[in-house]
Amino acid sequence: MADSQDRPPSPGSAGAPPNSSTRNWTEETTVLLGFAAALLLLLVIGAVSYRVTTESVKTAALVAHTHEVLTQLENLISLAKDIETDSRGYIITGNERFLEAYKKALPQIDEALATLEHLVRDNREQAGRIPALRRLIQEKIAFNSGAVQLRREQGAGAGARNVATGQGKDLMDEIRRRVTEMESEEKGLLAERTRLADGRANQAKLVILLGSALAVMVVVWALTKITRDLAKRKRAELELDQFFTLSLDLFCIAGFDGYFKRVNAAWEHVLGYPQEELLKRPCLDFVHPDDVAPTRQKAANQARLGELAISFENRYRCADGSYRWFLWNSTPKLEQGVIYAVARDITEQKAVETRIRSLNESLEQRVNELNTVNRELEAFSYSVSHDLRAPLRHVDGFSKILLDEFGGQLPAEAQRLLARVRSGATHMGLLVDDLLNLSRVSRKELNVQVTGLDAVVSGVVAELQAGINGRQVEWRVEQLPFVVCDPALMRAVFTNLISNALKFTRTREPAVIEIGHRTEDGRPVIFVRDNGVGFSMKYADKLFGVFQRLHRAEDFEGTGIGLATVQRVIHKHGGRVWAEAELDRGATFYFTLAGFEPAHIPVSGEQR
Amino acid sequence: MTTEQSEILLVEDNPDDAELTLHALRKNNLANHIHLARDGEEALDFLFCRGAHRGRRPDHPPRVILLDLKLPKVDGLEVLRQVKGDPRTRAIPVIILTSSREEKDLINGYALGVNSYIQKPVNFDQFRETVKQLGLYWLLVNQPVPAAVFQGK
Repeated sequence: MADSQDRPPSPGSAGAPPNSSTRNWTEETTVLLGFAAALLLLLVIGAVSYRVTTESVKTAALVAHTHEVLTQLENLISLAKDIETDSRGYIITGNERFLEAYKKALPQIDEALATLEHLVRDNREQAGRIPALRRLIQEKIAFNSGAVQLRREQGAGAGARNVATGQGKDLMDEIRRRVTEMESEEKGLLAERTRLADGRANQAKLVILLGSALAVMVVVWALTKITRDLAKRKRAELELDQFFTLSLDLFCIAGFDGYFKRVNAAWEHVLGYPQEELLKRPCLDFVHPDDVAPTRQKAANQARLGELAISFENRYRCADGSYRWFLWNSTPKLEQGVIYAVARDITEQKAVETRIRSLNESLEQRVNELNTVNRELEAFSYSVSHDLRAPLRHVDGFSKILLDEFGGQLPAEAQRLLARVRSGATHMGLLVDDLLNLSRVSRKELNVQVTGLDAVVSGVVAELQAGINGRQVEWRVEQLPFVVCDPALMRAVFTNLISNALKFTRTREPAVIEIGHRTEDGRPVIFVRDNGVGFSMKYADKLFGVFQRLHRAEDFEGTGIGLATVQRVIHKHGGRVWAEAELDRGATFYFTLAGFEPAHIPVSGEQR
Repeated sequence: MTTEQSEILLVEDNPDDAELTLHALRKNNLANHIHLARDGEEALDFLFCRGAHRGRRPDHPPRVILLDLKLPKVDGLEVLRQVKGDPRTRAIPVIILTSSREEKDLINGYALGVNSYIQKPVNFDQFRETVKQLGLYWLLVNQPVPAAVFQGK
């Protein structure tokens, strides 16, 4: 429908036809070629049939001609026989009645000879035989007429003699021989022609049979192909149609005239209008009034410039008056004057988006509040650090001056009380320092790096050892692993744990303090163990609370903040801290650290 | 309030702190020539010879400045910035003497060129010891800035 990003139309959409149509074209050509081949075969068959038919008509005419020649030859012999027989009958009998056929035969034989000559005029060999035959026949007629003349004039005796010469019979035999020769020649020709005609007919039969079969096969193949192609097309069409109809996204084809040309069923489901109504009214009728202008603009760009629309959003009004958010992707076809478009109902996502945005806003507000609180806390700590300590210094300082300068005038009890005042001030100074430490640990951002715990521990031990005033302490420090942690905070952890161990082993001789580690679930568990006074496990839950103490102040001094600080550091590292102890049998403090992603951790050997 | 011979400029708003510091210095015989400024503005007036200190000669600066951070009007870090930012006073050693051990104060102090940073201990014995050491060091052990540095400017 419209475009949110101005993109040039992709080259694939407009230029060359897609592959599928190229393939169709080839298939169509194949089918057409098949039909052309079938047609050609039919033409060949027709031509062959025509030729063979023509040939056979010609052959039939030739056969008839041969038969005619044979008939004429027989007729000729028959007439010659008549002449011979009748002339003999007359010679024997002298009866003129015998000459009836003879007289009739004389003109007929000439006629037959002429006919024969006419019939064989196209056959040089046969035609060449005609003059000799005619001469023989004329000789024969001449002989027989002579014999008849002789009988008539000189009687039976002369006639008989004449016959007895055998000259007539010889002539007759010669004629017969010649005719037979011609007959066999003609019969040979007939046989030859018949054989040729039969051969041609057989060839034609073969051509017609094979050609027809081939043509039928080609036609059947082409028809199969067409049928299959048609089925494929029908299926493709059906699939496309179902894609369109069944899609849960909203498919439509919209004309550049601003009307929907086709919409799928999803439109009816989502918006609740019947199809006819959607097609009847301009598209923009359904668009939210606030979205009409941008939608019109984008659609105009599509229609004019052929721009694609990618992720364009607008609202459509439902039949019930509510609005749904649509996300459009569409392609215009300038030559068809339509836009092919797909819309997705993103109303729910929009709602979620809105909710997330408002959540983010409130979160941001919270963060701001938190930052304010943090700043206030920081100011508070600063103030505590500076202002709370000052009066303590004054209490201690003036008490000390009082003791120094007027101590001599004060009774012992007054001096003792002043000493209590000073120790109270000192203790409160420690409290303030520890509280500041705790708050600093809480506020400090973790600055993690790969840290060798050996170096941290040895630094802490060295520092604390300076203050143990010659006490006998047996240190058992194992080799410790490298871990990912904030080294400054880790130092605070060990300082607290080891100074606790030192403090609560004060009554032990020697004090044994063990620092080591073991591996649980692939992660190191660090521990600090002492042989001090320990504590009862029933108070273990109070151990890490601020200001919680398990010993009386006169037995073991302390602020009750150290272990709270330890716990806060360990928790900041995502680890866990716990203790195991028994009254009068020592205590062990364990802690773990969460694994950090090693890739982002700088490696540093130096410890501060 | 004196004068051109001041060897130490103590900038401290709290009278109790001031008295304790002076007491500690006096106990160590270091309190002869101390000028006490009660806020940052007064300290700057003194150093740059203006306001109430218009008549002071600028070529006799204090040997050392003991500077508290939390001060009325102009705070300690601002005083430090101006002292170290001005060629006339840049050479004067400045020691921050404060209750604060906040990291950001340490960072800012050193960034501005402070010569030493000392947190006042709560325990007066320790405080007195500290004051004694720094007085001895800066007034006796350390060679003073030659006067030419100030007169030349």
